[in-house]
Amino acid sequence: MFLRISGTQSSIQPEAVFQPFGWPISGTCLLSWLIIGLLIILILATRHLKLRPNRQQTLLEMIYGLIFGLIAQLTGSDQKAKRVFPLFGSLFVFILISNYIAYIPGISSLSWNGQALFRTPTNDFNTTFGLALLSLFYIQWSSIRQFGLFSHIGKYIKLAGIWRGFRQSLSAGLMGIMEFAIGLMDIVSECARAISLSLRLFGNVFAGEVLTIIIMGAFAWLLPSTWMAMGLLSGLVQAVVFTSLVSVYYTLAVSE
Amino acid sequence: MRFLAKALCTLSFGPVAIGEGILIGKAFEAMGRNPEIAGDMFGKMIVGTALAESTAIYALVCFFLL
Repeated sequence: MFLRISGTQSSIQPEAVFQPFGWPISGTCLLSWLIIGLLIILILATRHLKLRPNRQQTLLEMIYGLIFGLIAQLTGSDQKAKRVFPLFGSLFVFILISNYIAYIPGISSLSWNGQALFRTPTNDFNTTFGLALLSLFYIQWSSIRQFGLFSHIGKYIKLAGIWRGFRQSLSAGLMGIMEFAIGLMDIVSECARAISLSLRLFGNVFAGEVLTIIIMGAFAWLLPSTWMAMGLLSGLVQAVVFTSLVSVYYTLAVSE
Repeated sequence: MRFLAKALCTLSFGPVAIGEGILIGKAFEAMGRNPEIAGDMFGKMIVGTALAESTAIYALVCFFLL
């Protein structure tokens, strides 16, 4: 049928394209290095910024202002936003570009030894889990830097609260034990954050790709393009959500 | 049996859709009452929607894993 285009559904586990010295290199890895190369070109291109901007610089500054405004709104102050912007802003740009790079025609049909050469980085659970772990470790580290190591651990294991409570009264001591249990729960919720952040991004991107292939197989005219336009929106939303959740977690970790 | 499990997975999408509908509807209600905070509200609404949607995403991941 000319109305249908069949495609292969990618599996959850990315396949290795090359295996130099038995070390598997997947298409995800190749494409993320390509994106990093692109970002490095962007850095080199912005070395000579002028006070009076030309067209391209105005565009870049507008994008910068939008991302910075988002982070500043969620962290609550410009000073904090400036501190975290190098990491969280680049996370945003990386996720956005990797969500959008699959829309370049032909990039997904390049193949090597009968296997797709490139695969969207965010379409791989390893990448998204890595990004989530990186940002959560950064948040932990900045909390340690702000409060010191012992009071940072004291945020999770609240033994001091029990001691202070029992010196005050019995009911305050029981409340202290309650607080201690809640603090232990916080450790679990920190781990759950890493899983939920990464699964959200991965699930959205993977489901988007699988659904595109299914819709192509059902009806190849007009309908897939509508779905892909929706995919452009959801790619942006996922990048925004990842960045804003990470900045909310940062704000929660360093406030008080 | 495998398809039955997949079908059970898809059941969780319905409640999530209802929840998201309530969330977005309430947010728009608030924006309509108070248009000055609309810009501020929109970003928070998107974040909330994404959080609510994560349940559906877990179910979707299970769906593909099964």
